[in-house]
Amino acid sequence: MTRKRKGRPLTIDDERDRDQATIALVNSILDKKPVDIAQLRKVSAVKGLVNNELRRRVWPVLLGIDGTEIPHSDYLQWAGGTHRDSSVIEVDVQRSLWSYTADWTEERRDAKRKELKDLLTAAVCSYSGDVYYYQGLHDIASVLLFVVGEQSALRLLRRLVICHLRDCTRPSLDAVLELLGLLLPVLREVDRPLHDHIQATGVPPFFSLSWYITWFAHNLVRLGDAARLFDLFLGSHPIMPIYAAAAVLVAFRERILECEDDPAQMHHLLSNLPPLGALSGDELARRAAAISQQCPPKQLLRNRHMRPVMATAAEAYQKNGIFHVPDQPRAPKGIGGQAALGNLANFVMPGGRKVQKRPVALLSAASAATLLAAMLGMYFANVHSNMGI
Amino acid sequence: MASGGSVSPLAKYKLVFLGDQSVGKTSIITRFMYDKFDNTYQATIGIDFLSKTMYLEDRTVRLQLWDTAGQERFRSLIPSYIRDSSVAVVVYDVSNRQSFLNTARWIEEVRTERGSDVIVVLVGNKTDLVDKRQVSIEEGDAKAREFNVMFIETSAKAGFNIKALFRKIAAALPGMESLSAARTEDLVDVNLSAAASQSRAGTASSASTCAC
Repeated sequence: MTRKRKGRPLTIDDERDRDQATIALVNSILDKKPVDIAQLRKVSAVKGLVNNELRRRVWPVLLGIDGTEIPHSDYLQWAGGTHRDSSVIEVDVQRSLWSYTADWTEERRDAKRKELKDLLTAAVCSYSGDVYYYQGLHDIASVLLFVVGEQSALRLLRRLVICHLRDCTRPSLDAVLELLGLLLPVLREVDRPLHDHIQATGVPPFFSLSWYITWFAHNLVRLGDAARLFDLFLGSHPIMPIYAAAAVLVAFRERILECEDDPAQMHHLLSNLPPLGALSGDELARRAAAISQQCPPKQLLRNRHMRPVMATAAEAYQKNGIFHVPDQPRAPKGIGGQAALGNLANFVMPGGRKVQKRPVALLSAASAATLLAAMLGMYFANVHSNMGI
Repeated sequence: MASGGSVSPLAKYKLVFLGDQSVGKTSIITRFMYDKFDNTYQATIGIDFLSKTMYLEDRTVRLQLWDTAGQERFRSLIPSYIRDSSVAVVVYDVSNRQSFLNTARWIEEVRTERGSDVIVVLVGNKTDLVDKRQVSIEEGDAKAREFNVMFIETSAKAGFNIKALFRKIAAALPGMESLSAARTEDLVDVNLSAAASQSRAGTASSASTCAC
C-alpha cells in the first residue's frame, strides 16, 4: 500500500522503518511501569498500532482492562443465554463477515459466525438486561474478534458497551440521535462554508448513524482499515467518531458542495460516502484527532450552549488516564429543566429552531425522549416542506 | 423561462419500506433498482435513500425510496419518514411467522401517522424458500383484507413479482386514478414476465398473485 504524502510518496522501505520505530516505541511504553497511558493513547491515535500482535497487547490497556481472564464457565453460561434481541443477533450474524472472509470456505465462515454470535450474546447477557444489543454492534464485535480473538474480544466488548458505546446500548436510540446533533457544530468549527451548505439543505444528521454506532466498521471493507481507526477510538474520548465524521465530510467537501439543495439527495450522498475514499486510515485518524484538539468536547458544548439530556458520552471523564462514561445523564441543574430544555433545542437542531418550553415538572427522562421525538418531527416537517413533495 | 413551458416537473413520490429485520426490504429495493440480488448483503443501519425514475405510459414519476433498519430500537427514527410518505411498503418473510405477525404493528404505526391518507402495501417476501414457508398466501391475503391494504407476494432473490409490486404501487399513486387496471399492464418500464403479469394492479385489498 502506498500512502500519499506531501513531497514524495512513502516507499515500502519508509513504511517498514516507520512501523518498526512505532513498534519499538510502543514496547518501550509498555515496558515502563506504571505505563504512561496518555502517551500510549497518543501513539495509538496518531501512529496506529501497526499489527494485530501489538493490538492484542495494547487495546486492553487503552480501556483499562487488566490481564484477568474471564472464567470459561462464565463465558459459556453467558453465551448460552437468551435476551430480548437474540433473534436480531441471529439474523445479523448470519449476514455478517462477508468482507473479512472473502476467500474462506462456508464451513470456516460459519464457525467464525458462531464465535461472533457467542461473543455478542455473552456481552449482552453478562449485564443481565442493562445492556441492549443494537444492529451495528456486530460490526464492532467482528473487528474485535478478528484482531484480538474471542476471549480478549469479550473483555473489550464488555467494557465498550458500558463505556464508549454506553449511549448506543440504552433501551432506545434517542441518546445517540442526540449525540449526532454534535456533528454539524463540530463541522462549523473547522469548515464554515461546508457546514452552512449542509445545514441549508436541512438534512438531519442521521446519515452519520452507522459511522457512529459501528465506528465506521459497517462502512469499511478491509479489516486493516477498521483496526487502524479502532486504534484511535479505543484510546480516545467516546465522541471521537463524531470528529472522524467531520473529517470525512471535509475530505469530500467539493463533492458535497456540488450536491443540489435537497435533503434526500444530500442524505443519500453523505450516508454513502466511503469514509476512506479520499484519505488513508492513518490520515483520517490524524485529522480526527486534530479536529478534536481544535474544539474539544467540553469547549464545544460550552461554546454552542449545548447540554445533552439523554446521552452521556459527551461528558466522559478520565480517571488514571482511562476514559469513563457516566452511566446515566445528570439531573438538570438550576430551575428545574428549563435551561436544559432550551439547550436541547440547540443541541438537536444546531440551526437554532425554536422549541416551545414546557413546564418544569414534565422533564423526566420519558418526557425528554418524547420531546426529542416531537422536535425531530418538527425538524422533519421543516425539512420536508422544503422538498416540495 | 424560455420555450420549455410544456415540460412539467417530475412528480415525486416517497415510499418508505418497513418491516422486521432480515425480511428483505433492502433486497427488494436492490432488485428493483439494479435488477440484481446480492448474496452477501448485510443489515441496514439507520436509514438509506435511493431514487429511481419510472417511465409510465403517459407520464414519468420519480420514486424516492427510504429503506429502514428493522430492529425495534431504530423505530424512533422512522415516524418522520412515514409522515412524509405517500406509500408504506410493509414487508414480512413468508418463512418467518413472527415477522408476519409484526406487520400488524407496522401497519398500525402507519395508520397512526397518516390515517387513511396513504397507500399501504403488504408484501410477503422470500417465496423462493418453498420448503420453509410458514405463512400461506391465503393468510397474507386475509390480513391485507382485514387492514384494507394491497397485497402481493415476492421473491427478491428470484426476481419474482418485484416489478409487479412497483407497477401496482405506481398505478395506485395519487393522480394515477385515470389509469385503469387494464392500462397499467402496459406500463413501459417493465418487461412483463409470465408470473408478474398475473398481478392485478388496482384497488385496495385486491388479492394479487399466486406464488407459482
